[in-house]
Amino acid sequence: MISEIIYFSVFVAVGLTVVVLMLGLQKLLQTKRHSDAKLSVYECGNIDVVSDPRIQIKMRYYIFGLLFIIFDVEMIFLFPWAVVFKSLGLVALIEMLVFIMILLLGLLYAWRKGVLKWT
Amino acid sequence: MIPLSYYLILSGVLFAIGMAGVLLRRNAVAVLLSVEIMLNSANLNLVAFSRYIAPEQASGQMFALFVMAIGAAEVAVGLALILMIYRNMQSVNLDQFNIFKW
Amino acid sequence: MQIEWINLMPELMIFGVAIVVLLGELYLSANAKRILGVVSLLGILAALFSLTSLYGVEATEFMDMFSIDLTATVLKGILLATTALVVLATLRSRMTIGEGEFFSMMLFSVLGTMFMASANDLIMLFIALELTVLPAYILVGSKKTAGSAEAALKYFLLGLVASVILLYGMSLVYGLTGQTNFTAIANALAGQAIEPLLLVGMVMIVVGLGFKVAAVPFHFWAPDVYEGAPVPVASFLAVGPKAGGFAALIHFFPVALAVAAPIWAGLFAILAVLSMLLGNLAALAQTQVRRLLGYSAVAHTGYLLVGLAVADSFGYTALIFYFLVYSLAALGSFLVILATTERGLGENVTDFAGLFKRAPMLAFAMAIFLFSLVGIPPFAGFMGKVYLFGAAVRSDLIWLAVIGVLNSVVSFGYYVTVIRQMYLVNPTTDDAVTVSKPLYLSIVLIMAAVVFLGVYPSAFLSIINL
Repeated sequence: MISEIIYFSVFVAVGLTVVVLMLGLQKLLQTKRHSDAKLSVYECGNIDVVSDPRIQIKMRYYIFGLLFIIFDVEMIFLFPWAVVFKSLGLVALIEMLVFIMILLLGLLYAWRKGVLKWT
Repeated sequence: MIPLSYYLILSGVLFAIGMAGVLLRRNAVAVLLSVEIMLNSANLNLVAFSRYIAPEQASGQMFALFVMAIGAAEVAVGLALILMIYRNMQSVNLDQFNIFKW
Repeated sequence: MQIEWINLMPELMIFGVAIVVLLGELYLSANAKRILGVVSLLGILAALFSLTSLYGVEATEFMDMFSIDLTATVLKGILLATTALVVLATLRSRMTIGEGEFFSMMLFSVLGTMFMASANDLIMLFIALELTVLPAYILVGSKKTAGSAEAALKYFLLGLVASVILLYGMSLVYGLTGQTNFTAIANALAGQAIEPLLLVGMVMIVVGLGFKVAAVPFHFWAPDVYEGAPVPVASFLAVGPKAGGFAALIHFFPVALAVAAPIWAGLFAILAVLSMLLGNLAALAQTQVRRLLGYSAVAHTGYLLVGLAVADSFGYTALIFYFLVYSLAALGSFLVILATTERGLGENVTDFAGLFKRAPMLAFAMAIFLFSLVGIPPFAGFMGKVYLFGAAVRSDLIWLAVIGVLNSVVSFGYYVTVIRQMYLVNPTTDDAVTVSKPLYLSIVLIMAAVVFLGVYPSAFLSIINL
């Protein structure tokens, strides 16, 4: 019990030190030269940031989001596979390759159907 | 250790919240979200049972993994359907889908 | 843990063909895509052929997750044969020509249903079920009309809720036994008192699968989907996913929950009565033919559930036979509707006026299918009902058999309105309704099967050893 508390406090202490170190060093070492471009608000993929908040987001975002969800979540099968991979050997490798080939087929389908084009 | 019943109560509550959302919300996307909550309540059940009832086999955890993947596929199909319907009908409000009566 | 791949041959073939058709859709020119339907048809026939070599084989694969037995093989055979008829009928259909996606999605759905028929594990059952219904959602929504969209949305949302309820029930059963394998669940439950939690889980599984087979009170999607979906899709839905639902019911309850047999048999008896009554009464009020068939499908789910209420091998055999008979007749009537809508006819009952003069063959076929659905001798539906209600009487469920027979009499009321329109009402025009050759062939084949099974049912019954 005691040792767990020690582990935990060391963990917290290290975490805090790292945060303080990184922010502090950054503050010490940085050069301060401002320009309009640097001060502008940054938003991924969107150039005009300051506008009416109720804008229509492009449909494409949803389709990319859909594709992302599928390929992202299928990866959960890779983790348990990786854990037992050594004991299963070649069969497991082939099975996983088949699985990934099927996933790739889905990607190929999306590609050929023109879903991946932005415009 | 937290007793098993706590997990079951939590999952029951989640299931009820999801069910209430399905019955009460009128937006197709919100209904989809509510169903996802229900799906996760079942997942919680599976993982908790796997840990407490049959810890030597991990079949419940494996089940949960498959459910997650299938849930993602369902969401993808569902969102794609809703997207298509929105393009054609300009609405995803379930009250406006009333061609078929009974 | 060696896997006998030969036992999985039909599934592998369907999977391969589905992938090939999908790739063909991506890489072939619009003209060459016409062969995709033929490829699908050949693939299904090859799978059917390889299935015959599994007749009588009893085996389990994938660490008991996948079981091959007589019921599974016969159900797969029925499924593949009816799907082949759907594909044949839609080869030259305007709605499907060159659409590899249609055939590919259908094949994936069939694949899921085949796995459902063989599932011997909760995990396998759930995955197979989702593989069955996900392509079906896409197919229902594949036409850009308000009806198709509404049907797809209702089917999807209700189906999703049903799946989740089913999953929750499965998780409770798993929690009580610590097992996901059907036989292991049965062993864990054997000799123990039935716990309330098991009942809750069982009811949730009944609700979830009841949705899939459209039993009252979980039938709301069925008429809408049958009416709103594109006609080829509606005809597939009448045979494919429904087969999966019944396959799961036949496999899961008698095997895994044998302890609670009287309880679930009672539940199914109640569902059967409700489905028969509500399906038939609602169908009486319909004026749209596909909606009428949708409610008739609900009523027929009721008849089929009688087989589960009987809960012995006679009941299950009668159920499988009646399922074959029903799916042939329902598929046939949908294909007749496909033939008429392809030529621009409407789908109201009155649009069938004088069809006898415009297309004698179609009207004759439709009359046979509808008579078979009512259960009039010498058509297959009659023999199916004889065996089904006979099994009920054998197990002292005479009241259930009586309700079933009375309902068949009621159902005559709405089927006959269609037949009356076709034969006794004069058409508004005398233009002949032409039918494409594959569709014609498919309808004739189904007609022959319906008559043959009605006259000589033991041809099929000897296969499933009644």
